[in-house]
Amino acid sequence: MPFLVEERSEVLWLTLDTPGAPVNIFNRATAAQTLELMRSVDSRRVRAVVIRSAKPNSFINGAGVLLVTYVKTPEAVEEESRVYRQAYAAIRACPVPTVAAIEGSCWGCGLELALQCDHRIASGGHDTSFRLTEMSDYVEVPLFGSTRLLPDAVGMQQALDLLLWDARWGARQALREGLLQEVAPADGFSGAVDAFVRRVLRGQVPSLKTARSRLESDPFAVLSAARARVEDIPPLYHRTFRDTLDLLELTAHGEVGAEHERRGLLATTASTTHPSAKAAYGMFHLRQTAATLAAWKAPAGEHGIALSSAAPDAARLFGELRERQPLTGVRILPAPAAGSRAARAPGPTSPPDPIEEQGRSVTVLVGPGEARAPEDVEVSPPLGAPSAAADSLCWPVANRPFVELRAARGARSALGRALQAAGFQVALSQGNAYGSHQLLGAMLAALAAAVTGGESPNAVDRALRELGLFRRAPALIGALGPGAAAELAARASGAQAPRDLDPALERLAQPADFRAGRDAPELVDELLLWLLPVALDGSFSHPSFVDLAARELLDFPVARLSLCRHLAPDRVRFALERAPARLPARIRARAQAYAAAGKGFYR
Amino acid sequence: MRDAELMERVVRAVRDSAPRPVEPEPDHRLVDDLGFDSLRMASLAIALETELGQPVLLNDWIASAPSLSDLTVQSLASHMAANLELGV
Repeated sequence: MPFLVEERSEVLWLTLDTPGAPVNIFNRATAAQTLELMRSVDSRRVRAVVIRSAKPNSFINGAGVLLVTYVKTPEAVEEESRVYRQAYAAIRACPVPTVAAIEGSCWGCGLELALQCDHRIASGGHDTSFRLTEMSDYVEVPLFGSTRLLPDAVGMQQALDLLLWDARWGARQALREGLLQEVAPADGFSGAVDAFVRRVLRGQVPSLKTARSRLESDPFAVLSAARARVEDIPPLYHRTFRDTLDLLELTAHGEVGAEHERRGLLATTASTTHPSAKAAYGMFHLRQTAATLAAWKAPAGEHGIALSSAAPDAARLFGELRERQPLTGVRILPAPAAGSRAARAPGPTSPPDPIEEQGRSVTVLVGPGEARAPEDVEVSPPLGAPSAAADSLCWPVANRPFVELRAARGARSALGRALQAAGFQVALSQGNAYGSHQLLGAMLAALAAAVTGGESPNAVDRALRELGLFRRAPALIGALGPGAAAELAARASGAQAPRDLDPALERLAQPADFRAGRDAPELVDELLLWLLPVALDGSFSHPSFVDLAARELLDFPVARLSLCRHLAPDRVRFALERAPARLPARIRARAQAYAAAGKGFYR
Repeated sequence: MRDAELMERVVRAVRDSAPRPVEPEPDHRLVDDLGFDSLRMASLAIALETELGQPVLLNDWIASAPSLSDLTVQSLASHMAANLELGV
């Protein structure tokens, strides 16, 4: 059974441990058991119910994607979701106080489950995060309570940030915004939950259900501003975003009963049956494929990372990376002396390392040109300009923390798994250049070529919006910085120095308005053709890594599934027919050969 | 590739990626009988890539079945055969 059930000291402890999965999934079996457990709560014997997780990094990650694929009508949505909705309603109606004790990712329906509880406490560990993934990852209107409950819990503006704009909150921010009542240190979290529950039992912690609403005095103004912002995003997403805003407007009117539920079901049906959602499920599968490949057959558990002083910046860079996205579950070992055999193992003064003894420790070297042993791992610096490379290992443009690795097989698997455990998306590459650099460079070079060729930045903005990008040229160049953007674009263009591209990139970095740009679908084709050689011949060692990088670094839309899938031979053939004459001959020739072969990236 | 050879390869991929030891039969249902879930499908895609020599994306196969119970070893082999004919 998904929940381990224990009754202790008048408290029912429900500990979720999804069988056979690295994270908790609130699937049908979990919903059915929740319903049964909630209905069996006897308030004469039990004075509180605590819902927590047995998995250290995951409270609940989602509801399981496979089932959603087969839900195609409003009746089917109603039928398939019934047990989930009943389970959530049963938590809310539980006759004794309910406590969500959150450790790890609290995403999607996991956050919606927590919203049903009277009390919420979370671990302050770096693994704890709050996200509503439905819109950003699956282009779906969430069904299990967030559009009704979030505005009161955190205010309309913050609810919009979570629902529409892919906000990710750590525990501290969730506490500040009113989502949580307490944050306790990760060490000793279990004891802190015990103490919290004792206070609940003594009536010393008021229920969040009766807390004062944080809804703004004029939520309609907030909604109105959001509707205006939705006009700027790609049309692919308009219906789903507007349907969500309509539901929030009902909530703002105080209508959170049957009519809200009826319209919620219709909106969810419309979104789950839309081709955009079907495409997004495809990207989910690709993300899983990339994650599996990056940690292929790596042993589970803690991993040590020994930083070699052969790369003098490695320790500092990894320290900065850890600051931005802390590497929990990973130990950073002391840097050993350079040039010796010990350079790939903890130094003689280090404490004994059981992981090293098991051959699972890996050495991390950073930056090209360093002498390294075959088992070493190289982590890509994020920016093209060498001076900027030392700033951080985290790409400032990434949707999620993203790292490109290259290494011998054993080492990369261990580090890949360790970085995934710390919340990173990991792509593997090989060759002389970084795939991340190639992909960003091709995008920037294509945009610069269009502007140099006479297109206005507004037309470029319009083309990128049509393609489905939320993050367009000014945001991309702004995040990278003009120097790095020019360096990356120059490398990709092959024939130009960075300074030659500066004028075009400077124009592209200015705010643009798609409404003032001409409708130029051939610009989308031109951009796709620039990206094709990177997907075909670039450094990423598998198409799923190209797709992952395109999603994270370029903001390639999940509503179009993925870059490689979108670049089907027929699509490329069509693009070639419309591509402007300025398209470089080498790119045109490569695309022609690919289209003629007629074989796509995936079978 | 002959149908029998393709089926042999698909069976091998399913066996290698199944969550528990199993001897797959054509009419076995991957989710109901063999215990596959959405995360395990990634291992299946990689095992199929090893067998067929090209990256595989399974979402079309998953979406093409009328229901979860229709995801059988046979339907997977048929889907792969159709893709071979199409040259994709």
